[in-house]
Amino acid sequence: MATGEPPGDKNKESELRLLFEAHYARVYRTAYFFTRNPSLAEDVTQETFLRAFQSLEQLRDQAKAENWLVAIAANLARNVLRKERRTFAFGSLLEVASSAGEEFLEEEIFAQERRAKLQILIASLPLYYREVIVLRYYAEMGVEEIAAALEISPGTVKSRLNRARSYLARKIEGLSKKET
Amino acid sequence: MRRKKTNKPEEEIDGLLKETVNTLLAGVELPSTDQMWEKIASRLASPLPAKKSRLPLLLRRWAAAAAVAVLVFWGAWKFASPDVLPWITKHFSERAPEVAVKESIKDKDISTVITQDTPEAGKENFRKPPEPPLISKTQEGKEASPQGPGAGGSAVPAAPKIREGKEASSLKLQAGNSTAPAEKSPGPCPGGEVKEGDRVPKIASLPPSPAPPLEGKKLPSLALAQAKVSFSLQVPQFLPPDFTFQEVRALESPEGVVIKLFWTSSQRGTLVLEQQMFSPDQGGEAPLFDQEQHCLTLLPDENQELIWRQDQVLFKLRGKVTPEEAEKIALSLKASAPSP
Repeated sequence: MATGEPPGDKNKESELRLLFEAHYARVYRTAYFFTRNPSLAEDVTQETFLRAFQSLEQLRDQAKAENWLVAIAANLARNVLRKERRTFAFGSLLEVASSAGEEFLEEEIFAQERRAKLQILIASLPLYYREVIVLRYYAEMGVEEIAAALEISPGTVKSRLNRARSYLARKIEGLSKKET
Repeated sequence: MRRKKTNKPEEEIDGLLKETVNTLLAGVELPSTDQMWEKIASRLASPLPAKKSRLPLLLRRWAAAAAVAVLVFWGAWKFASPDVLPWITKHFSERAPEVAVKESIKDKDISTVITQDTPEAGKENFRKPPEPPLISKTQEGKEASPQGPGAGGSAVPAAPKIREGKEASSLKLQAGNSTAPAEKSPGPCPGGEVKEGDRVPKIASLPPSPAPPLEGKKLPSLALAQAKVSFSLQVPQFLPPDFTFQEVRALESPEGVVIKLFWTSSQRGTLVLEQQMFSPDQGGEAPLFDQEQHCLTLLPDENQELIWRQDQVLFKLRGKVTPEEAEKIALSLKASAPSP
């Protein structure tokens, strides 16, 4: 660390370190859910905290720090995906979905299968559905927050959420019928 | 389109989604926290790259469009600027005469241009039906030159000769001078001769022939004329209707004596039959009349003169007669002393 830094920057760095330790995992997972690529998720996470360091004074409510960081991560991930235009790195997220399903107990086999399939379905959603899903159900952000984070209108957030939800609901219903 | 309603309550689906998403993301393996923080700290220590002050996308697009518009405008202005205008003026002024000439050629008759510009105007006019002003222009010199006094050629329009040249495929045009070598053209008869019944121009449709030259000495009788030449004078036994014998004249020339027989008609004017001893200088390549094949090449010159050779006598028939009549006249020539 540079020694000749002003005390204000030192405090900011300490503050950032605290934020990093508290929200690193969620930021990285959000970035991973967006990009479906570990290295890209790493880049997005680093960039997220660097951006947070630059505008740390904007964070007034520490309770909203996570949502604030996730929103930054979501935006950066979107930009990265636009720039990179990477091919669909679908396999890695599907592996995650499959491995997550293995952890369930045997008596809950049907529930496991259903959840595992649902994970696959969520992971295979298009980005514009995936981002609202992850921000809504993982970052637990409100519609307004999601709209602000993704720089889209709240109405668009609502419609995307509803479409994604009804799509997944139909799929879940179909899975239940198959099980019975 | 109405979506299919699900039985699951929204809360239950929300709960399920939340649980699934969390489970899904919980399975994501995190990279080492310390390594990640080291990377972030190192980037914090290093001076941050200056943030590019980029214009919004819409502004950037507008700026690009404006730049293109400016370039186009500048190019157009440059092209039409005073530096370029002289070049344009010069370019088009250089091309203008060509265009003018082309347009004039297109608009006018091509023979007009040739007549004015080339020495072969007369030939071109023979090939193409000329317009009246052009004909008079090209004909003036010719008609004035070869004829003697009393020919009256200038009073006769020269257009018929030109039309004949176009109309008669097998008819030979002897331009200018009847003594000049005649062209031979492919025809039904050997040597470009015309057989009886072949299509030939109707000389009768031509305007009245010019008054024949009255050179020479008028003779009181054909016997005296016969006495002046070494060949036997021949008198046609056939003549078109209305022609009556008028007189006989003898013209002495360096090539020999020319005997001229004159007939007149109230409607067709004068018919002249000249006879003289054939010589290449006089008759040129005048075709030999084959009485057996009844072939005769008609060589109308500018005086509508029909010329042919029979034995050693050169005949020239001038007057308003049809080719058929001319042929009949030629066939009916008998070596007998005429008794008008």
